[in-house]
Amino acid sequence: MKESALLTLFSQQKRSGLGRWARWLWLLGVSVSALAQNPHRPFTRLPYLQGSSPTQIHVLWRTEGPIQPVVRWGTRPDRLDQTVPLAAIVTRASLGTNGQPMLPQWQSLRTPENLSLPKLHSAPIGTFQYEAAIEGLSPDTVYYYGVFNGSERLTAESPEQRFQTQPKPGTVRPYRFWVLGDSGTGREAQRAVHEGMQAWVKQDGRPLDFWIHVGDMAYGTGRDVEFQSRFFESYQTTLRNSVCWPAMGNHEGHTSKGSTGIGPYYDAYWVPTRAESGGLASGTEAYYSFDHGNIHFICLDSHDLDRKPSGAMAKWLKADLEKAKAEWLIAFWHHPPYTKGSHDSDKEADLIEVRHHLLPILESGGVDLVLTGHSHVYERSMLLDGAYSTNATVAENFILDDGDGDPRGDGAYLKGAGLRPHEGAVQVVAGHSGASLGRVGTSPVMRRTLVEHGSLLVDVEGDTLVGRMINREGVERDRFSLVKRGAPLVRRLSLPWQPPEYKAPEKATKSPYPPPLDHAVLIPAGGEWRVLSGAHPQGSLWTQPGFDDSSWLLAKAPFNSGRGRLLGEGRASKEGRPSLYVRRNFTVTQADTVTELGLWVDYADGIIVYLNGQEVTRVNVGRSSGRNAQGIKLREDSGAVYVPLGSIARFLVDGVNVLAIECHAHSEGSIDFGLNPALWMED
Amino acid sequence: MASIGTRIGWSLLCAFLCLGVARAHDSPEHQIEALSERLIREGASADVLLERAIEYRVLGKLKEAARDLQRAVRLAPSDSLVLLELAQIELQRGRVSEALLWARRALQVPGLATGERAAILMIRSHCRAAQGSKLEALDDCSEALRWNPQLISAYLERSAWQQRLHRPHERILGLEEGIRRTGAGLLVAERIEALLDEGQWQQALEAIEPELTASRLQGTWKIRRARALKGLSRRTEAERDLQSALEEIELRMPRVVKDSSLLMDRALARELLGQTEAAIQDYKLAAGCGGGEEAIEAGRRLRRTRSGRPLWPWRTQRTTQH
Ligand SMILES: [Fe+2]
Repeated sequence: MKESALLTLFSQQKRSGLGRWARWLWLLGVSVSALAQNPHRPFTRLPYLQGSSPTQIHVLWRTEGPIQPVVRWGTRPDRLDQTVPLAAIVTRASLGTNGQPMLPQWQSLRTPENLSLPKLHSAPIGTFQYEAAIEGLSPDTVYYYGVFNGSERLTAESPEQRFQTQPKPGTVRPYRFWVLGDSGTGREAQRAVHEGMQAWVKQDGRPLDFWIHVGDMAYGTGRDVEFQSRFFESYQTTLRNSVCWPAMGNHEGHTSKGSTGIGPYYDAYWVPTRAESGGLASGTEAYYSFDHGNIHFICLDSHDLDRKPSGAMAKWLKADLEKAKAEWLIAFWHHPPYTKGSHDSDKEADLIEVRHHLLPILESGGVDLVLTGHSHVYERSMLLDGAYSTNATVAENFILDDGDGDPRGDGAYLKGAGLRPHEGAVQVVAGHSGASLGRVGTSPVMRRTLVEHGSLLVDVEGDTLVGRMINREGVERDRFSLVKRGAPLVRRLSLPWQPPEYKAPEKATKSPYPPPLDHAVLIPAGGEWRVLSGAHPQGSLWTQPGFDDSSWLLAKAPFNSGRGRLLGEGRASKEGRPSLYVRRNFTVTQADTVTELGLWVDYADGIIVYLNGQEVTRVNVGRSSGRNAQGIKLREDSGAVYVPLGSIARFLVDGVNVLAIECHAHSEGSIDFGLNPALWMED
Repeated sequence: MASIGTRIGWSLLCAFLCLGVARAHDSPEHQIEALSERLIREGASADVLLERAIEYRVLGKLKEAARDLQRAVRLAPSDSLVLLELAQIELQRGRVSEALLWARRALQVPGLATGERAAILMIRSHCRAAQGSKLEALDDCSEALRWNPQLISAYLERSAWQQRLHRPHERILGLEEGIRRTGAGLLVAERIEALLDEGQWQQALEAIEPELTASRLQGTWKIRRARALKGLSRRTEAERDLQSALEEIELRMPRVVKDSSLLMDRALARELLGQTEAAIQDYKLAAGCGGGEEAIEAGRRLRRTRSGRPLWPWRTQRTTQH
């Protein structure tokens, strides 16, 4: 909580007549509750792995306030006999700006020494991020690690705190990696997809070597708090023992910029810029490459950098491809060149540019597999080459094998050994890992389109690559394979197989908007509210903090006509419809760490919700508000649903906030009229 | 509220469209619709206008994007992100003086992060380039690098201006500085281009050899080596490199829609072999599929020189091609 807000609250308590000791106890209570919110103290971001090579790996973590950072490692979990030198640990800090209100304990951290540390651009004030480079490791070896504050061990002694270094470049052995995209919602589907993958992998018996996120990992705008709750906390069990290689999505692009290298995305990840893991040094974190065994990976920023061949990124791509000597070439980024999921690659400029400018360079460089997201669907192509047109994509003469690519069906797609230009690549859109799904049509180059949540597992072993779509239940839903052997004949099919045309369901069934997985209750259902019924308040003052609501009735929810208690006195609305107005205070200790607020609410028929006097959500109310509310629709469904509140980043404050709701019936005779709200905060 | 069910009304879903969390209808059109509703409901804010402008830009509706950004600037005159975006959009629309104005405004924002300042300076550089102010465009690249010495594109663009303005020594030193600071492989290649442009054949050749050995795809490097060899009067070896580069390019060239980076290479190889008309044709094709100013300039230069002047041995006027 910021200092000024604390003082305001403190003075409010003072005004309320609490004694001095009670006030201090109250203040203590605030701190204790803040402590209780973080069971991992002092970590505010648990240790996770980044940027590995055959001899090096990075461990990153965050704490609230500084610690004496120590990382120990060894080849047994109970014997961490090596220590990372302090010089190999980079510390970044978020210390606010001069004059910014902050807790005294953070103010005292603004020493010249701390202020000279590299900046964390968007983390809560008081956050310290540590980036430890563990070097001098042996290739393809399992190690265990622990994070300490001086001599105090902060991470558990567990075989899960481990990592495996990469094998030497070119090493042929089985590799397995996980690919997911558009997952960062903090909703149940995200967790199910993660668990589905874990279950499948566990049953199969071979763990992941690493994973790739193709972007949109922190909805809605890639803020630091969204990264924390919707990425780091969601994937902690996978992040602590396998490296995630990221690509930036458009949602992260709201707060992070490739052209400046600034923002929560760039704070969160360590990626190679100087060819630390092979490839050609890009000199920037926006795009990079790395080798893993006999595979070369390329990551591009498809969101906000020049995609044209004359731009620096495309030039680097060309130069990187010149040097790549691995047996396999896999590229990933966010915007798909071919999709008819929730996005349309024939209509959207950024998708067309990716197809027109970047794919030719990759395909003439011998790319085998392209992994993207953005479109909330699973789409997997046939073996494809050369479809770069800015017009609508067609399949004729661009498909090299129109089979299903499944070793159990039409057989694997065949290419020549090594990296060979224009022998075809498989395109996978994996934007189905958490966000709600969508489809506008069928791309003619796709062999498989699945509108269900899941992710992709890829196995590479020697000359064979197998991709599997594993759904949220841990069930394999698609399999394709590429085999690179000899020099098979390349044919271009003038009349390739075409996927059946997609017909949108006439009446789409809409699933309810899911609530966040983890939440704290700020106002419980059945809570006490100040209520006005049978009359309309004047103007909008009643929605604001400071409004004197002492004349309003103090009553417990639910408020409904069935109980008659609140609504019997008259229904003074222009159209004679029943209306109801409720308001109540709630407290938030640190507004800038709140990812999302939402109502768990049963209502009929329309509601408008205000936060500190600002409208943040309206449902089923057409125009205006209060006595002038118009266009109130009948709520056709019923029961409690989750209704997220918008713009909380703008309107939520540290300390006391006011939530106000007006509820209107659809018609005068509405028998279902009523309201039962609870307020949830995403944890 | 008597009976409780589970389905949710369409209007409720519409209300959610305005929120950040991913939804089925994630397309720019839907986003614009949702953001518009949000602007009506919450009143105009710079953040939401910026978001909507970005969606308009994705759809190529630059005029609408600029209009939103201008509104956003009125609401948040010191929002550097909005100003940066607006300058960029106006430049894209060809409204150079407006772009310049917004870039200047952005540079006056107090407390700009160094990375932001560098990005804005690069936009100003592009504006000045569009106005034909070469020296000022160059100065902006240099200033951008003072604020963000990691900015690879600024090194490349500065190098291009230094070449056009015949400042070979500065160019090579600047690139060496960039290599030291960033380690970027692209700058290593650009330095070799600078050595070739400067006629430092032997030095270039020595730098090319290890790169060529390390390369799987050798066409581009063989063309570079051919330039050095020609400079050293080793014509037969140079021609062998060029022929071999052309063979590789043919193997890699896509059939229908062409790849401008390969076309640029083929054009240069053909130019060096004296196949002027074919080279001009390739530069033209490259310009038509994303090759940009570089391809246009190269084509123009070649058309000027085809009137009898010797092409060989030859110091190219190429810009940032590597
Ligand atoms: Fe996206």
